[in-house]
Order: sequence, then structure tokens, then C-alpha cells
Amino acid sequence: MEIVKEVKISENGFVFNSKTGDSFNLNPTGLALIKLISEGKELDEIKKEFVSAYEVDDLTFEKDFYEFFTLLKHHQIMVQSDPLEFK
Amino acid sequence: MEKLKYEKPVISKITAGVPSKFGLPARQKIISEIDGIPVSKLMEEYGSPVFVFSENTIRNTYAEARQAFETRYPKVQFAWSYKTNYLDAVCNIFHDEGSWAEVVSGFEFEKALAIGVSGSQILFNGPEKSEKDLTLAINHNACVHIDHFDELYLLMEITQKLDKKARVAIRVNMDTGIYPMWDRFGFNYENGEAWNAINRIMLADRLELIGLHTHIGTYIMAPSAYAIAATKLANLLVATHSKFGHWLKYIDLGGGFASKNTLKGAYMPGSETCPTFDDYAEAITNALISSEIPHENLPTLFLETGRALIDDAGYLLTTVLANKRSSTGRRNMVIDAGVNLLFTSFWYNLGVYPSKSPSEYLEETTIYGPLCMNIDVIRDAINFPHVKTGDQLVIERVGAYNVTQWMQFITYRPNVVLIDLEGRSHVIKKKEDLETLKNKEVKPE
Amino acid sequence: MGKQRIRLAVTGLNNTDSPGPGVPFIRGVKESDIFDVHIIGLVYENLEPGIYMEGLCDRIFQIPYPSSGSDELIERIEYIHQQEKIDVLVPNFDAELFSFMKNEERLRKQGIQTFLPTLTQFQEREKHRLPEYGKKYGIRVPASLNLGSLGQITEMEDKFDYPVMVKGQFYDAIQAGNKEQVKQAFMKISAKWGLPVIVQEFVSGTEVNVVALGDGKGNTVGAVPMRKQYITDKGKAWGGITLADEKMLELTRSVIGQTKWRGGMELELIKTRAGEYYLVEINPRIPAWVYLAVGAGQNIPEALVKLALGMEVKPMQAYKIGKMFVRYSYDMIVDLEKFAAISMNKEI
Repeated sequence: MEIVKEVKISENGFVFNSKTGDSFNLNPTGLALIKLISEGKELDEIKKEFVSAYEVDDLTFEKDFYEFFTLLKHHQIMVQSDPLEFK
Repeated sequence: MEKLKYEKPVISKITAGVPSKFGLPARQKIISEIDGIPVSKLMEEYGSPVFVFSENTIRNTYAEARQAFETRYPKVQFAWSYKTNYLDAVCNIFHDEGSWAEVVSGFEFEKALAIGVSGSQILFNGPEKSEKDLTLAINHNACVHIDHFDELYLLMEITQKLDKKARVAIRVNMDTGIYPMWDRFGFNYENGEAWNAINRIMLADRLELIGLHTHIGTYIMAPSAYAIAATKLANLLVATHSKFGHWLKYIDLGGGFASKNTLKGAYMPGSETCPTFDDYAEAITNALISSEIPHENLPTLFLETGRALIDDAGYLLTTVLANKRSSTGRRNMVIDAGVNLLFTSFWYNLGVYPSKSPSEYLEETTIYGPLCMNIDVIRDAINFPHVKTGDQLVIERVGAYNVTQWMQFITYRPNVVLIDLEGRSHVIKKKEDLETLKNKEVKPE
Repeated sequence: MGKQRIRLAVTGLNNTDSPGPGVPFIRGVKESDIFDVHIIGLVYENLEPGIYMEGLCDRIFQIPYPSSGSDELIERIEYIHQQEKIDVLVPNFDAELFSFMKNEERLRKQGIQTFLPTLTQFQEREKHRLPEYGKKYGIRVPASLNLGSLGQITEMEDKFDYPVMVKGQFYDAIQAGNKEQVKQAFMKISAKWGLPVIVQEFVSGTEVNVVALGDGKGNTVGAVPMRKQYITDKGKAWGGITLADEKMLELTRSVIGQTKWRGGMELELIKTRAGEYYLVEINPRIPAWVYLAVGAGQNIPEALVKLALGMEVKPMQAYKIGKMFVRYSYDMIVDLEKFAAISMNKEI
């Protein structure tokens, strides 16, 4: 799964999905995370970077990561075509 | 290198047109301690969830109410509304402050007697009074507030049987401009029924009419309604004197003062629109003083304020069980206190606050209780910061009605704690256990 | 002599099909001969058209809804004041008036002037108190009954013939022709606006309105009567015409004189065929069609700003009769940047 190519992310955290016309708002950690995701990095790699840069433990981050991921899918910023695909 | 402060990553849709408060620089209120004791310490000691009452707040609120009325009117007497909160420790504080007891059932009457309230300082209200209850009240010289004619005739019968006098008042319902008008209790003023009842009582041998009572409704935001009620009762008082030459001793305006909680459907927060005790006192006492009652015959003013005296003093401490997303992406949070403990959540948007500094970002959230029931919703839409499982939250203004209307459903009712004036905490009602519940159960032989 | 520079903050820039009065208010003040205005637009939502109208506002700030608490709203205003130094603040929504009235003194101390009705004036005109209001000030109002429950329908039927108007405390009015319709309307309105639900006697006639301004001492500073020529399905005027109706003006002066009304107001009246006027509603603020008054010769927005600044204002009496307004809709082309800016930074 990748970030849909129609999605534009601004440096101030404003996100515009030109495919759906929706706009979004990211908090600073959300912005940092979406950048790493858009670089195509995997959870393990991202987790490593986050845990070393932020005051957060593995498990908390993993939970938050999956929740964020769910929201990205919900907002059609990432597309999951097969409900059994796990990532 | 020092690590950056972590905040849960969030993405939120900007809804065009509809305001998105997400990210607006809102201050999130935090309740980290109650009367000097950290929330974490209270929960460590007494478990979660736990009700906590502040004696300090109770006494201060009471003093405020008393001052509002006593500086405006010569004779004022509060009667503690048992149904609002009848935990012994709470009732004791009100009685210690000088309150009488206002009860609405045989059970409450027995409870007041057991606490040590003198029968002559109990006002007995309500539509349900059995022959047994009334006999108890008469024997203790309590004041019975008659609700309907059937009760009036039952009283005449009982007093005859006992060959004793009963001290009585009547409950009057009336139009004070409040909706809904509570006309299910008492005798109606406008159609002359109340006056009828007064006449009937004045002619009865063993009934001594000493007061008039009304209770115009609940959560009344308009002090002017009380002024109308006071005026109408004053009219009855004057009429009783002109016909029978008898000055009644008191006028009881009941309860119904609003608390600072926000009613569901209200646009503005209750803390801003709720009238002060001074507002109510000004309206009521002005109406009485400017009535036709001569100054030396002014009746004692009884008040049965419950909610406004105790709501602010009660907190419910609770723990976050889970955070989840609904199928539509909406944020849901589950806490360990449900509607079984918070009856008032059915009509208030209760204030729920974190106990420590949370994330900066708020997101609209539904807060669910722990019951395996779909109706168990504490807040259906609240802008709430992100908190983690195990984080402790405080629900404020839950002192009225919850610990009397709570339900024992699938779990034990929790500890209730009182923090005294010295800042020490005491359990005033112990958490239930299996024994408490099995105690009354009987297996058929 | 040069114009006086003032910094004016205005809400209600929602010029939609149910428009707020902010944009017409600003237009009025901008036409002033004595003021040179710097406009600070205050918006609740990120799509309020006033945000995107070229040359209307100099700055835009998003503010939190009053329902999130007056303190939060007022603190936001204070924050804006630190940056922009507001001289006069004109709130234009019924729902925000309570918060601003309550904090009038707090704002004044910091140099922000408002010109609002008092809490008593505001409350006594509330819809469910209309009968008392009519009695107190000798104004004809439709008979009405406040319903707290469906149990009162019998009482209502004793009092009125059908049809009746069923109304919410704040908004909404539904005409009902029988018991079933009253019940439906009651359920619908009480769910939205709470209790009581107001049932009014149906008065048939023409709907006419007055925009007016009281100086708080009993004087009517400005008043222009209008008849709605076309009403949209949202009950808003899409076209209107000024009237020469001395009776309406008398009634307005009588209300303002007796109540010492302070600030802008709109009287909604029904004129019956017999020429009687029934007061149906008093809105405690300037209506969205206020620009008709400006066009007819009474710059009520400018006069309101003058009063707020403590300047003396001579009552305006003349206005052009037969002036019309026709509303129109217009698609502006705007860039996403503006939308992103107000959504993200909460200010432009």
C-alpha cells in the first residue's frame, strides 16, 4: 500500500487529496509519520526511527501507528483494495 | 541528544463549513487533585472507579446558600433533600450545618431517624405514604406534606384511630411559567383545589395545618418562577388568616435550583447560565416581603434544595480501558464507569477531564462505559485530548442523585470516599462484594 | 477634515442562502463619510463567504463557538485584540449575544466597545414570553401557549382554532392544521430546540419588518420598515421594499421608547387585512437586510458604530420610500491557499 499519488502534503501539516477533494490537518508527529510512510518505509524501520527520536516506547508507538494507518485508509489517503491484505 | 516530546500522530479531516475545532488553541482543563489529594493516590488507595466527595465544598456551598437567604429574610430553614444523596456521612454534614431532613418515603424517614434527626425536624413529602409510614410520622411528630385528597382522608382516619394530632402542610402545584408544569404532585392553586384542601384541613379536628409547600419543577433556570410561586403561596397564607384567623408557620418552596451541570440540548454551558443562590434568594424573598403578610407574621421560609448544594461536591474517578476507532473512523474511548453509576449522564453532558497534562490536540470522541450494553454512553460527542489506556480521568459535578439512583448491574458498586476538612480521606460507603449481594438471596428449599 | 480611522471587528460573514448580517453591516460602515475602517472579520466556519470576498476584510480570525464556553470565546477575542487593537466589536448572531453581553464590561476595560441590549431587554423579548411582553408594553401579539408536553394539546384546543403556528424557542415555525400535525411539529421542534414549544394563534396577513436602532435612552436613532416581496423556502427575504407606514414606525418608537432598547433590532410583524399589526418576534440584532436601510438613506451600521464609540447621533427620520433590494448569488473563484490558511492557522 502506498500513499495515493493525488495526495499533496504541505510542510505546515495541511493535506489535500485532489482525488476526493478532502482536506486534512496533521499534528506535528502525524506529519513526521506520514513523511516516513510516503518514503515507503516499513513499520519496523519507522518504529526504530520514532523510538530513537521521541519519548515513546515500542508498544505505544505500534498501537498508534496502526490507528493512524487505519485513519489514512479510512480517509482514502492510502487504499486497501483487498480486506485480507495485512500491512 | 534529547528526545522530542511524543504526541500520538493524528490526522483529522477538515470539514468544510462545519467548524472543526481540531487544533484551535483550546485550553484543556485538568483535575489532578481533589482537596489537595492527588487523583492517582485516591485511586491507588480506593480503586477505580471511585466516588469522592469534598466536605469542604459541601460546607462552602451550604454557607453560600444560607448567606444568600439569611441576609435577605429573617427566618430561613433548610431541609436536606434525602433523595438527592442519603449517605449517612453526607446527611450528617448537612444536619451539622443546621439542616432539617426532607424525606419522600418510609425508608428515607427511617434513615433520618436512624441518623438521629428529631422527628419534629423531618418534612415528609411525596405521593407514596402508607398507613404504616403515616403512623410513624405522626408518632414522631413530623410534618406531613399532603399530596392528594385520598392521603388527607387517610390521615384523618389514622389520627382518629391513634387519637393523636398530626402536623400537616399541603403541597400546592401551580402555573409559574415553567414548562413542563408539575401538576402531578399536590393540589392545584389556579383551579381552587388547594384552597379547598386548606378549608377541609382547617375543619378537621386532629389535623393542625402549619405550612404550605410547593416544588415547581427541577433544574429551574428562572428565579422569577420562584417569585411567582412565593406570591401564590403568600396569597393562600393571607386567605387562610382572613378566614380562620390563623397564621401558618412556614412556606416551603421545595427545591429545583439548577446546578452548574450542562443539560443535554442546552446551547451554553450550565456554569454560565445557572443562576446564583443570590438570584434565587432575591426573587423569593422580595416576593414574600412585598406580599400582604404583615412583617411580624412572616412565615419561616423552608428550602429543600438538593442538587445545587451537593452536585459540585461529588467527583467520579475513572480509568481509561481502551481507545478504538469506529468503522467510520470516529474516535471511541471506553472507561470503567458506566451509566449504572452515572444516572445523571442521561440528562447532562457531564464534564470529563484528564488528571494529568494530556496531548495538545483534541478530537471529537464518544465516551462509552464498560457495560456490555449499547445504551452505556457517558458522552456521545466531546472534544477530548488523546489519553492512553490506564490514564485516570475525573468526572465532575456528580454529587446529586448518582449515589442514590445507581444500579447494581453486572458488577459491584464502588467505594465512596469523603475528604474531610483536614484533607483526610475516609471510605463512607464500602465497595460491594459477592457477600453483599448474596446476603439477601434465598434458594427455594 | 480627514476621516477617523477605526478598527472594527464583525461576526456573521456567512452570506449564504440564510445570510448573517456581517457582510451588509461592513458594506454600510465602509460607505461612511466619517470613518475610515479597518475590518477584522471574525468567523466560526472556514467557508463563510466573507472570508473570500475581495476587499471586504483586512484580517480574518476564526473564533470558537460560544457553546464551547464564553471564556474561551472572550479569551480568543482578547488574543485578537492584542494583535489588532479592536475599537468596536459588532456581534451578529443571536447565539453569541449572551456571551458578549455578559462580558461587555470586561471588553470595555480593554478598550473594546460594543453596543448591545441589556440582559433584561434580551430576555424579556424571548419568544415564549411574548404574551407578557405584549401586555407590559401594550403591543398586540398573537395569543400563544407554551407546550411542555403533548398532554397540553387539549388545553391548546380549548384555546385556539386550527390552524396554529408551532414554534421553537430560537428558530423554526411550522403551521399545523390538526392535532396530528401539532404532535409531529412538537416532536420535531422539541428535539431540536428543547422545551417549551410555543403554539401561536395563526394570524393571517402580510409579513412586514422593521430594522431599527435604539440609543439605550429611549430614542429611536433609525428605523426603516420593509415588506418582504419574496420569501425563500428558508423563510428569508430574497427581495424587499421600503414602506411608508407611519403605524409601523410608531410601534417601533413605542417599543424602543418604553424598553429603552440599546442596539440594533428587527421587529417582525404581521399586518392583517383590517390594518392591525401583530408583533410576532423581536430579533435582538440587526437583520441581514440592513443594507436596504443604508440604500434608503439611513446608515444604521454607521450610527451603531458611532453610538458604540460614545459619539452623539441625531435620530434619522427620512428614508426613501419604494427602495428595493434583490438578493443574488454569485460564485467566487478562490484559491485553496486561503481555505488552507484559515483551516490551519485560524487566521489570515
